[in-house]
Amino acid sequence: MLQYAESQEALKFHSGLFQGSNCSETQTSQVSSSTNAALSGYKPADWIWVELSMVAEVERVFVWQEDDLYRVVSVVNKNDEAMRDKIYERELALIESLPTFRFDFYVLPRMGNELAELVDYSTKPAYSRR
Amino acid sequence: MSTLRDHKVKAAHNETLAASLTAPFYDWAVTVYFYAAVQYIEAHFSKNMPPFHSPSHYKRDSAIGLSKTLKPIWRDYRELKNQSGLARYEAHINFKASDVSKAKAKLDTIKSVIIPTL
Repeated sequence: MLQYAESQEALKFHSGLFQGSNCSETQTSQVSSSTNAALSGYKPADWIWVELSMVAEVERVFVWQEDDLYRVVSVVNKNDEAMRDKIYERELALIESLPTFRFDFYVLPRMGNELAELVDYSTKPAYSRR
Repeated sequence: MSTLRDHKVKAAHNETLAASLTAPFYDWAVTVYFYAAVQYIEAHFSKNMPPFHSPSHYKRDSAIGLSKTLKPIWRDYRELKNQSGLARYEAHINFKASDVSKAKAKLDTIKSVIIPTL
């Protein structure tokens, strides 16, 4: 799980990579736990994509919010269980870190296909790896 | 609201179906193993006072992740759930007999944690 200081560095690091529109530094986090109070200034969606982008194989992260529910799709290339396990650990960390929110996680292996051939995501990814 | 017994019966029902599915229905076997796991997990939650029943997968996911008892099976449950989603919605992914074996092994792990709590 990312610690706060690490997450701040990651956010700075990834700011140069970020290509989406879901990430805003102007909105205040709704997270209420003391651990995550330090994340004020960042939306939970930011915390989500930062955490998942720590898995090197994650190419894109899509995040949709519906009230207290975050639907999250992590796009990878290979259909590999060991790699998914690493993502599941990050997902668990998010559940523990943001206990007032609910999550619907999904890992989508594109297996060499262009993502646009598989799905029609009108939403821009919260995170795209260059 | 289903009882503990109802969930156990349904779990066994799903498990029997999954075990009966052969080629080329590996995708559905994986899916049904996931729904067997769901029933075992709901059986566990039905023992709570007051009983808890998760009306959706995402509420169940959070409940598992925040439960000291169930957290150790998070990755097993989560892999079954993901494989079930891939099997139903992603036509570019083919399922093999080995995927079914892995799904059954994950269900067995989940049962090994949950059944002692029932």
